[in-house]
Amino acid sequence: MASSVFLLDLKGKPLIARDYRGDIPLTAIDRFMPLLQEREDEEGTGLPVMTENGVTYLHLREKDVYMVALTRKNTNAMTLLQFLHHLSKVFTEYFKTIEEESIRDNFVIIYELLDEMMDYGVPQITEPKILQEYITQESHMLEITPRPPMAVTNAVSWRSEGISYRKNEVFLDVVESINMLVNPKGNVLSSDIQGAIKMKVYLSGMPELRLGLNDKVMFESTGRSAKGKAVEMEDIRFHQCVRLSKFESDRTISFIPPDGEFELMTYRLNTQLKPLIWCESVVESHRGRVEYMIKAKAQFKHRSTANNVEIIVPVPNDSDSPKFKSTIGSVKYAPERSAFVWKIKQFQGGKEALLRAHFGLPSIRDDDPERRPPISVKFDIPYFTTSGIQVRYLKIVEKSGYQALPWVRYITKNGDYQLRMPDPITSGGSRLPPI
Amino acid sequence: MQGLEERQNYMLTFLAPIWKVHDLRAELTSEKKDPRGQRKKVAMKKVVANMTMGNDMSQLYQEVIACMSIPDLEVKKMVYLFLINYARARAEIANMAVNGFEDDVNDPNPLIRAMAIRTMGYIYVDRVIESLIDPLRHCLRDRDPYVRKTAAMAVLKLSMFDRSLVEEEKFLDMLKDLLADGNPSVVANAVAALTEISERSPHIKLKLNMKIANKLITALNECNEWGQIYILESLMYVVPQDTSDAETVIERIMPRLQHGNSGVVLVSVKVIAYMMNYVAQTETLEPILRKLSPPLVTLLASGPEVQYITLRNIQLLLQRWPTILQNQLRAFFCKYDDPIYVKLAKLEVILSLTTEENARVVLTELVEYAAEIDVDFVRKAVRSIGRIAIKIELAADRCVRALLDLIQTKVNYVVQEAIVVIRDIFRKYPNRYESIIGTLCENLDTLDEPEARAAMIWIIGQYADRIDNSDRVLATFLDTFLDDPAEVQLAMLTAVVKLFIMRPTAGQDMVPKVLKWATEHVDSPDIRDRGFIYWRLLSTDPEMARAVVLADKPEISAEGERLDMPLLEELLLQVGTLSSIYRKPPCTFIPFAKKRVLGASEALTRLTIAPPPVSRLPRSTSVMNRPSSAKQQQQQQQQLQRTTSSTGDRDGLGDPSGSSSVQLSASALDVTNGGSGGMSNPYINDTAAGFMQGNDAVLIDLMSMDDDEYGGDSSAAINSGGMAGFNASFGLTGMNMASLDPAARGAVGAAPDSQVLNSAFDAAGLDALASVASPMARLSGRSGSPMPDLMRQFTSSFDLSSGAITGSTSSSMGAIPSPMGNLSFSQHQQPQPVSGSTSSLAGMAGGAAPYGVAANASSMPALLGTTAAAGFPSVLSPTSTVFNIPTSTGSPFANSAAISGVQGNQQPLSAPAAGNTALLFSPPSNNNNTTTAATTGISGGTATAFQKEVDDLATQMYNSGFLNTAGTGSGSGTDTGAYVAPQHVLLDAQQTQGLEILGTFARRSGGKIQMEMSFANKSTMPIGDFAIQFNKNTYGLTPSGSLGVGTVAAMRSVEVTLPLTLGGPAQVMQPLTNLQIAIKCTAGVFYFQTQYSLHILFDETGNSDQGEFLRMWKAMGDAPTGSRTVQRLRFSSMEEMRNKLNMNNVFTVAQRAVAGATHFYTSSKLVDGSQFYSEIKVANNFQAAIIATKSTAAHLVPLYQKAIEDICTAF
Repeated sequence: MASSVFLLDLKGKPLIARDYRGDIPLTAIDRFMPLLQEREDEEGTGLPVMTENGVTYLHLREKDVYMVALTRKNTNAMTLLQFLHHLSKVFTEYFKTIEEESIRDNFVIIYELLDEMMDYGVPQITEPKILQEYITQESHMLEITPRPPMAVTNAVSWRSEGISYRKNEVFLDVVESINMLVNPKGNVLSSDIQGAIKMKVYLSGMPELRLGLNDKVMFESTGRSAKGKAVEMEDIRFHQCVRLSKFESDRTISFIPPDGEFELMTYRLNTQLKPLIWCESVVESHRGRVEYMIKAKAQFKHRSTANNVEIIVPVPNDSDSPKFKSTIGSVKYAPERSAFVWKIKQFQGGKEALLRAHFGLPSIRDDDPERRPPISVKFDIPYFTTSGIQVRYLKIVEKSGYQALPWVRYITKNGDYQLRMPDPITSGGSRLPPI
Repeated sequence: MQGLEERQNYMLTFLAPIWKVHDLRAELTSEKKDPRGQRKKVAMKKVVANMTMGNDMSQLYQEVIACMSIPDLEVKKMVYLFLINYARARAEIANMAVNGFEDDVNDPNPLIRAMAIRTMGYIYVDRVIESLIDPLRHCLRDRDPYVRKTAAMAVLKLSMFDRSLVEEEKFLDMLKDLLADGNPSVVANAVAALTEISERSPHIKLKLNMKIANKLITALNECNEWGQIYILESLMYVVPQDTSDAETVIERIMPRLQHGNSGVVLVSVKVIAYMMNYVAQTETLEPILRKLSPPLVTLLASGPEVQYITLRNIQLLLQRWPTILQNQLRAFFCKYDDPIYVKLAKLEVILSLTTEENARVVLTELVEYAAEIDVDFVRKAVRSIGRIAIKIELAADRCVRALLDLIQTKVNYVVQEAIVVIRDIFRKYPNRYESIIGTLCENLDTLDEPEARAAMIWIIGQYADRIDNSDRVLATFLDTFLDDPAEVQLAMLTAVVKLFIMRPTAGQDMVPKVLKWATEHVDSPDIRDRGFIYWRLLSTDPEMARAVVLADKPEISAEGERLDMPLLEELLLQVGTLSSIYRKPPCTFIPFAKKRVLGASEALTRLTIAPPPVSRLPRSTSVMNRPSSAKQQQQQQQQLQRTTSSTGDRDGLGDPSGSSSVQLSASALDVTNGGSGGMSNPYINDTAAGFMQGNDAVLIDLMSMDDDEYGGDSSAAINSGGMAGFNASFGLTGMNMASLDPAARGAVGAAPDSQVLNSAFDAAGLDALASVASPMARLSGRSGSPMPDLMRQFTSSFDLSSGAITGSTSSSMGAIPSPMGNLSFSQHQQPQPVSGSTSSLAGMAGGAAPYGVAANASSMPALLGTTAAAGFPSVLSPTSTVFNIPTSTGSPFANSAAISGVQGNQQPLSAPAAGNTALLFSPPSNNNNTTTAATTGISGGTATAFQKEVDDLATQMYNSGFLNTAGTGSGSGTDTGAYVAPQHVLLDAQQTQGLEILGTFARRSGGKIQMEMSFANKSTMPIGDFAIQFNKNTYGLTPSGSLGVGTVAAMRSVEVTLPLTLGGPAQVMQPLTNLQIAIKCTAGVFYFQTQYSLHILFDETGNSDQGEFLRMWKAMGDAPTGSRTVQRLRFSSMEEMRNKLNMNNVFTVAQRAVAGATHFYTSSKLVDGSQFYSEIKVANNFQAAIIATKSTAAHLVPLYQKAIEDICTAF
C-alpha cells in the first residue's frame, strides 16, 4: 500500500506531505516532476504509474493539483488510484474545489482527513458524509468531542442514525449519456449508452428502499412478461449501499441510501445506435482559405426536442477572418479551442439545419500533417431515454411508517460523442458555393 | 462564525513571511489568558504550516508536547502530527511524549484511544514501542470496534518494526482471533494486516482454508469498499482442494463485479481468474468467462488512469483466456482525446482481438490512427497493420495495400515504419508481394533510421534478382557503410553477398569491397565474423554459399509478444498490481518480493478454453488436462521458478545481450582464428558439429529478441529466451531416457549420459524429467499408426539417422533443445493454433506457445514449416538443431557442451560422444556446409543487433544441415519426401453451424492413399455420429475404412486419417480430380466438393529405364506435348530435387547438365496405367523450370504437370 501521499502544485512543489511508512525519504517526491516530464507527451499526460529506483509514483491530476501516492511495494495500483479518486471526492465535498489555494487554506483539516482516511497507507474510510460527522471545520471542545460515528465501523458505513426531515422526498434522475464514434463516411464505429441513476435522498431514519426497473433479465427470471419494452442492461455497477448478493439472486435492487446526493447505479448498453444528432461535413481546403459545410440532423422522435445543442467543429489553429451562415442557431469562432461552435438552443426531432463557414488561412503554411480532431456534439434531450429504461416503482419503507414522495426525471445527453471529419478536398476547384 | 473569522485571520498570517521559531515559542508559552487554548491552537497551526513547508520546527518540541494536555481535539491532532514528523528521528522527543500517550490510550473517548494507538505505531522508537505493547493488547480487545480496527493496523506497524516482537507477544494470534470478530471492518483490517505481514515475513505463510474463506466472503457483504478489497485479496491465499471449492468461491464473488469501486471489480476478477485454474470442467468456465467481459468493458468508462491499468490487465487475461471479450472489439477503439498511454494500450488489445472476421474493420481503424499526429502512436499503428498481415493471412493483401497508401503520404516516420513491417511481411509471405518493391525503392533517400535502412537493404538483397538495378541501389548504401550502425552494416553485408550469388556480374565489384571493410575496418566482432564466414564460403564452395545464403527463412509469427506461460501465470496472480502493469514478476523490481505461484492441489487443472481459431488451423485439441500428478506439477513449477529467477536479473538490467552472447563471441573468434590457419577436413568436421551445439541455444535466444522487437516488451521476451533454454533441458533428457527408439539409445549410449544428468538433479528434477519424457514417447509411439504427414516425416527422420541424432542428443547432454523442451511442457497446456502449419505436431508444438517462449515464436514455425509440403526439410532441419542445441545459460552442463564444441576433437568428460555425433550427423562430404553454417550461427550468436539476420542464418544453417542428412538418408526413408498439399478448408464453420473441416490428400508409403482431415467444432454443442460418403468419381476413390471421428466436444478438434481405395464406382468428373463428398453428423448433413492433386495416383512402379523412355518418347512423337513453366523451385541442389521427385513416384530416368541448367527425364505411371514421360529443364539457380510431358493420357497432362509443380515448389 502507499508509503506516503502528496499533494503537489503544478510545478511539483509539495503542498501537503503525509508520510505513512517512513520507508521512502520525503525527498523522493522531488523526482516526480522530472519523471513525469520525461514520459509526458505533448498533451501533458504522463503515465499514471511510474517507477524509478524502486519507488513507484502513482498520480492523478485534479485541476492544478497533483495527487501522488508513493510506494515501494508491488502495490495494487488500481486500489491506490481509486483511493486518490476518493480523496479528491472528499476534498471536493469539504472545500468545493480542489485548488492550490483551497489546499493551502485547509491544510490542518487535510492532515486530519489523511490520518483518518488512510492508516499506515491502507485506505480506511472515504465516505465524505460520514467523515464530516467527526472531522469538521468547526472547532470542538474536548467535552463535546465527537466520537467515531457508528457508521465508521457499521455494516451500513455510509449512513448515520437519527437523520430527520420534515418532508420526506426522494429525487431520481435517470441520465443516459450517449458515447458515439462515427467515421467520416457516417458509419458508427462504436456506440454505447452509459446510464446512471442519480438520487437525492431527503429521508428520515434508516429507510429501506427498493427500486423496480423494466429489467429484462428480471422479467425473464421471474417468468413475468413485460408490459411494454424491457431493457437488457449489459453491465451494472452499484453504489456500495446496494445489496449485491440480493441483486445476484433475484435482481431486486434494495438498499439503505446514504443521505443526500449520490449515484445509485450505472449501467451500460452496447447497442448499435443511430447517431441522435448526426453531422455531415464537407471541408474544402484551398490556398489561403478553408470552407466548411455542415449539415446537422436530429434523428429522434418529432415529439422530443434537444436543448442546448453545441456542435463544435475544429478548424486549423491558424485560421482567421471567420464568416458564418446558418439556417438556425448562432455560430461563434473560438480561436482558443481552434474550433467554431454552433449553438442551437432548441433542435426538434426530425429537423435539419445547415451551416456554412469560411476561414482565411495564412498563405504560407508548413507541411506537417494537420491534427484532425473530430467534431464533437453536446446536447440534452429531456423526458427521453434512448434505452427505454423506466423506473417502475420505488418503494420506501421506514419503521416509523412515514409517507415519502419519489420524483423521477429522465434525460439523455451526449457522452463522448465524436464524429470524425473527412479529409479536406484540396483540388478540383471549389464545389461549395461561396457564402 | 468563529471558525470563519479564524480562517480569515489565518489566511492573512499565512501569506506573511515565515514565522520565526522564537516568535512561535513565545506564542506557545505565552502566559496570556487562554482558557480554551485558542491562542495556542493558532500558534500550533503556524507550527504545522511551517512544518508542511519543510521548515524544521523540531526545536519547539518541549512547548508542543506541553500542548498535549490542552483539551482540544484539533490541537491534539496537530501535536500528534508534529510527533509523527519529528519523533521518529529524535528519540528524546519521543521519550518525552510517552507520558502523554499513556494518558491518551486510556481516554474514555474511543476516538482518542484509537488516535493514540495509531500515532504510537508510527513512532519507531524503542521507548514508545515498549509502552505501546500493553495498551495495544487491551485495544485489540477494546469494546469499541473503531479502536479494535485501529489496533489491528497497529500490529502491522509493529511487525514492520520488529517482526519477532509481534510473534513473541502473540499479537499474530490475536489478529487471527479478530478474523472472527463480529464487526466487518475489524475483520477487514485484521485480514489486511495478516496478509501484509505474511507477504513480508520469510517464514509466515498465510493459508486460508475454505471454512475461513466462507466466513470472510460472508463478511464481504457488510464491509465498506476498502474492506472488501482486503478480504478479496486474502482469498488469493485459499488453495481449493477440489473443484467445488473453487466454484463456490467464484459463485459467491461474482456479485462483486457489479461494485461501483473499480478496485473491488478488478480484485474480484483476479480472484475469479485464480480460482478458474482449479475448475475441472470447461462447461463451467464458459459462463464465467462470459460474465467477466462486461465489467471489464465498463471499467473502460472510467478515468484514463483506471483505463490504463484495466487495459494492461485485459491484455494478460486475453492471453490466458482468449475467448474473453469476444465481440467487444469496438469498445477498444481509440477516442481522439484519449491520453497517448491509453491509446497505445488499446492498440495492443485491438491486435489481440483481431480475427479473420473483423480484420477489415480493424484495418480501417488502424489506417485512421496512422493519420494522427502523435509519432509513437502512428508508428505503433503502422506496425500493427504489419502484425495483422502476419497474423491473418486473409487480410495480408489488404494490409499491404494500406501500407503502400501510407508510404505514399511521404510522412517520414510513417514510411520508415512501414518499410520495417513490410520486410516482415516479405519474410512471412515470400514471393507474393515483390511487385511493390518499386514503390519502396522510391523512398530510399528518406530512410535515416537504422532499422528502416536495414529492412530496406534486406529487401533489396533478398530480391536482388528481381530488381533490375539492385546493384546500383545497394551501391547507394555503400558510401555510408563505414559510418552506419552495426545493424545496417550486417544487413548490407548479407545483401551484397546475396546479390553476388544471384547476379554474380552485378555484385562482383561490391563484394570484395564490402568483405574487406567488414573484416578489416569494422570493430564489431559480429560483422567481422560474418564477413570472414562469407568470404571463406564464397571462396571455397560457391554452390554451398548459395545453399547457405539463399536458404529458406524460418517463418515469423505475430505472436512474438506473447508471454510465456509460467510468467503469465504469475502475473495473473498479480492482477491490478504494478507487476501486472510492467509485466514483470515482482521480484525483478521489488527486493525480497515473495513469489506467487498457483497453490498445488489435487484440484489444480489449469484448464483453458480454445481461442477462436485465428487462422485456418484448428488442429489442436482444445482442452487438455494436465496429466501428471499434483506432485510433479509442483516440482515442475519449482524448476520453472528457478528459471525465472535465473533470468530475472537480466531482465532488470534491460540489457539484451545476455552473458551467453558474450561467452560465445569468444568462441566465435576461436573459430575464425583456427580457420585462417587452414582447417583440415576432419578438424572442421568435428568443430563444426560441436559448434553447432554450442550456439544454437543462443541463436534461439536471439531469435526471441528478434521477435521481441516486434512485440516491444523487451524484458519479457528476453526473459523467455533464457527460459527456453532451461525448459528445454528437460525435454532433452526426457528424450534420452525414454522416448527414443531403445535400440538407438542403446547403441550410442545415451543411458549413461542421462544418468550423469540425473544425478545432478535432485529428485524433483527427476520427476519432472519423467513427466517430460512422456510426450516424446507419445510422439514416437505414434509413428506406426496413421498420422499426419509432418508427424510422419518427423519420425521417419528419426529413423533414417536415428543413430546420429541420438548420438548428438546424448552427447550434448546438458545441451538444450529448446522447442522440444517446450513441447514437453506443452503437454499439460492448451495448444494454440499456429498459423500456417497443419499437422498434429504443429498442434503439440504450438501448445508450447503459452508456456513457451517468445523464442519459440520464431523457432517454432520453422519447426512446423510453412506448409505440409514444406515437410521434410523444414521439419527435419530445425529438429536436427533441436537435438544439438546446448545453451550456455541455465545449466551447468550446457557450458561443457559448448566447450566440447570449442575444443572440437577433444572429448570432454561430460560429452563423450560429441565427436562421434558430429561425424554421424554431418557426413564428411558436406563438411564445409555444416561448418560454415555452424560458424555462421556462432557469429549470429554473438550479435546483439543481428536479429533478423540471425534468423536467416539460422535457417540457412538448418537447411544446409538438412541437405546432408537427406542426401545420405534418402535410400532408407521412403516416406520422407512425399508431398502433401497443405490442408485447406473443406467445410467452413459459418455454413455449418460451427463444424469446420480441413483436409488434404496424401499418398503414403506402400501406395496408401489417404485423406487427412481435421474436424474442428467451433460451436458450443458437441457434435458426433460422423459418417462420410463419396460420390462416384473419375477414379473410383472411395473410403476403405470408417471415419474414426467420435464425438467432438465444443471448441475442440480431432484429426483423422481416412484410408482410401480405388475400387469404388466410377464416373468421369469435371475437373477430373473432383470429388463430391457428404458428411453426416449430429449437426446435419453437409455436402462439399474438393479436388485432389494427381500425384496421389502416381504408382510406385512407374520407373522405367532409359531405353524404354526413349522408345516411348519417340513412339509418342506426334502426341501433343504439354509444356509448363514453373517458377521459383524450392530446391538448392539437383540431387535434392531428384530425390524429392523420386519420393513422389516421379522417377528420374536420366539427367544431364547443360550450360546453366540441368535436364531431367522422368517417368511415372498412374494407377490406371496411364504413362507420363517428361523432360524437366531446370535452371541452375532453381528460379525456373520448364516441364514438357508426353503421355498416353494427354488429357491428364495439365493435372500431371500441376502436381509436379506443387511438388517442386512446395517446400
